[in-house]
Amino acid sequence: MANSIRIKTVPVAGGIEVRALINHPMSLGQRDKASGKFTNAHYVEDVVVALNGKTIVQGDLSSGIASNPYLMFTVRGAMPGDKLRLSWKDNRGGSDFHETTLT
Amino acid sequence: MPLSRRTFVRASLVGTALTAVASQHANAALPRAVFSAVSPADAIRAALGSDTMVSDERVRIVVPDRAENGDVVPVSVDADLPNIQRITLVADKNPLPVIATFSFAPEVQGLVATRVKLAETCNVTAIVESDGKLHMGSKPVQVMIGGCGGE
Repeated sequence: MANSIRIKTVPVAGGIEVRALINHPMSLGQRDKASGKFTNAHYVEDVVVALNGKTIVQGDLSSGIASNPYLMFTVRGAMPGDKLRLSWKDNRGGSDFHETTLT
Repeated sequence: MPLSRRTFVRASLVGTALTAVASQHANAALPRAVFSAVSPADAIRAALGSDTMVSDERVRIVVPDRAENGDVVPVSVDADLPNIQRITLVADKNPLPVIATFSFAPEVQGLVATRVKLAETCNVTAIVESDGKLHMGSKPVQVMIGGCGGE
């Protein structure tokens, strides 16, 4: 899969702010009017962010997250040269990851 | 923004309701069933296991007062609390109320931003787990055109 992940890191006081964007439809699917259930949904359900191999953020997402999920958080004490890896899995078995070195 | 009586009453009601439904579940890895729960009460009970949940003004949730397009609503949660382990976002009027749960290692600050879908005007609630306790912050959002429709 073409890389679906873009990560931008910004140094802030005491750490690094991570802004990540995943290209994904995050589709709710169709809603059956009788049962109210959604079918055919397609969304990222698991996001893992690791710093130097250690998981620092784990997200359980649902189709309630807007398409092309955006996630921002701040990591205290992250240093230039640290490796940041983000991976995702969706509910249809799709997945992707991206690793970047902090500068 | 001064706290209007209406906002206050609404927040207290939600707080009471959530406290009432918070159950005695043991904490475990989050099952996917959490996200298919249809009522906010069921969803919260499934997502979080604790007896006590307090409405806490240290949980600051930033969302627009009015969202033109419910498909993309920026939300950020900033909590001035120690040892934040988990943040859960809930929109009480969405067909599937639990939007997401984020778990953090200690290195990550208690600030997280993302974008959510809102089906209609509702309260967006952030439940922050800090030192094993649940703290809740809530804010009403007026939605002009709902996302999450699918109908």
